[in-house]
Amino acid sequence: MKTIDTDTLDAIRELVNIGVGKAAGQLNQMTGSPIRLQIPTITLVPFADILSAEKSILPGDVLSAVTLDFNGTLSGITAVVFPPESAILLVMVLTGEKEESPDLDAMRVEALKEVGNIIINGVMGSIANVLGERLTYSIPCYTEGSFASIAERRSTTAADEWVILARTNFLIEALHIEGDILLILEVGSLDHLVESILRTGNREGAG
Amino acid sequence: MIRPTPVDTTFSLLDLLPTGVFVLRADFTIRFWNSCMVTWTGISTGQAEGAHILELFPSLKNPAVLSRISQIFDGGPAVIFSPLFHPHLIPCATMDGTLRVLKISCIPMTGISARDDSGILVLVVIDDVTDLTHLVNAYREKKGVAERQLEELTKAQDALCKANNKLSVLASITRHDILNQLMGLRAYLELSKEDVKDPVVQEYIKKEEQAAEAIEWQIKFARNYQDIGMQAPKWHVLSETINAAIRDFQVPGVEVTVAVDGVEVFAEPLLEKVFVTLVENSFRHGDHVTRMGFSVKETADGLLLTYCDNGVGITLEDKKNLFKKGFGKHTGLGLFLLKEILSITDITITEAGEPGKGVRFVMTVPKGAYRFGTTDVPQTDELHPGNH
Repeated sequence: MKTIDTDTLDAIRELVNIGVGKAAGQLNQMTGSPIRLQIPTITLVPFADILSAEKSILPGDVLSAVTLDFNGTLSGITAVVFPPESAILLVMVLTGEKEESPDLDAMRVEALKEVGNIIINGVMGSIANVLGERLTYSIPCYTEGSFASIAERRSTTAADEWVILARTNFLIEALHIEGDILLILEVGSLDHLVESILRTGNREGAG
Repeated sequence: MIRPTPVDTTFSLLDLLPTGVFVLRADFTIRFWNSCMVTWTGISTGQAEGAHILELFPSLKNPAVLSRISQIFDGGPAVIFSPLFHPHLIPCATMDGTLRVLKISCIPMTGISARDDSGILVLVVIDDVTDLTHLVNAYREKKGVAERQLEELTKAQDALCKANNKLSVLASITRHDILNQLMGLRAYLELSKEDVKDPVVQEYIKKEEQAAEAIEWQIKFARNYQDIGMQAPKWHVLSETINAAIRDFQVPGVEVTVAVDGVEVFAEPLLEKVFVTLVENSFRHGDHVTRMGFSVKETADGLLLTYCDNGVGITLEDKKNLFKKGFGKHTGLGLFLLKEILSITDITITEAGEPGKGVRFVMTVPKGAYRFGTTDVPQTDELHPGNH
């Protein structure tokens, strides 16, 4: 089994925290309601475990997710995942629509994709700032299904590859909306990331 | 000699696309403007290329929009503007002058070799989703109407259910009272038979007893018939329902085959009684039955659920009246009630056995009233106990 030292994990947790914090700020602006963020959990797992339905870290067969692939000095996938009820509720709150039993139809999916896009760009913007280097990104995608089927979109990551899974659960209590921001980072690209985080940390410490 | 200005063909392919496309430089000037944008906005390529996008479309100055596009030039990912939040971010008119509903994607382009560009360009792709929007709105409207109708139907169904229950209680009490009175009447008829010696009157009493018996049968029939349709139909796992039905008929020397694995049928909750009656009839009337069997076969018309035995079968004469009310020896549910129970979910039943070789009841389950579970259904000839 692969291991990563505590300092590295802490550094990644810190980085994710900054990114997710910024994203939560944007979500807060959009909804006008306070967002409660959990501390990110960071785990090192084989990618196959993420793809395995039995070991799924997020329950549910019909999750709504907006995903973004990124490559460069850091490679992986970022996703904002909602239970279906939360997804539709969020869109209804943001569009101000009133309907008895709304569906997540084509138009609302586009709206959810934009919300996911704003959140993910907030996360990735912070990470890219720390890295100080440009990444290449895919176009954001909307996917419905189990968490395994969402992660499956990352076709360039081999099943036996070890990845870092960062998960942050958020809750908009007033609106009964919850979701998760997930980052799956390929371990191969971590050295550069950790170096950048430490460098940034030192710089801030010196300042 | 004057050299002609070289024509920039970097984005010429984008001119062929049936969607609006333009390319922005980091200073927000337009580098490329495709022909679809010319049609949609009425702004010619000459007017657009080199112009500042914010001057052409001031709506883009909205900080919530502008800051997101700016992030792309800073190295950020693509940005999406959805039709629900920004339907007319870039005003584009249709032929009749109404504004198109747009979905806009702003995608970073790096590594484009071009004469005057360095760094990131942004490719703006505009999809016209006006028709889709109309379709979705029409769907929502229809769904709303359907939901309201469903709500009204549910209320009406609840009211009918309550009324039905009241009628059922009333009918039950009435039946009970009639049967009590009938018992008294028959007792007095019995006493009259003993006291009256006149053969003419004896004949009258005999007729009165027959009439009383007929009343009793009709009351009991009404009780059984009333149960049909009282509860909503449900999905039955066929093997479970049949096995429950034959549980009390395990007789040494009689082999019962149930080859219906993985099939579920949508039918009245009394379906088990249908199978009980079929098996009971085999024991009661089949004479020398040693094999019985249930099997299924899918056909173009639906699912054929067949029950067979190897008894004496049904005579051609009896077949004519088999499913008529009152046919039989007045025991059990009767085939008329079986037919009624099955017909609740449009299942039909016929008897196709050969007299002398056993019965063969074929129940045809229509499409939509059956489904397959975990086990495949045989596609070949169904099992027939007589073929063993």
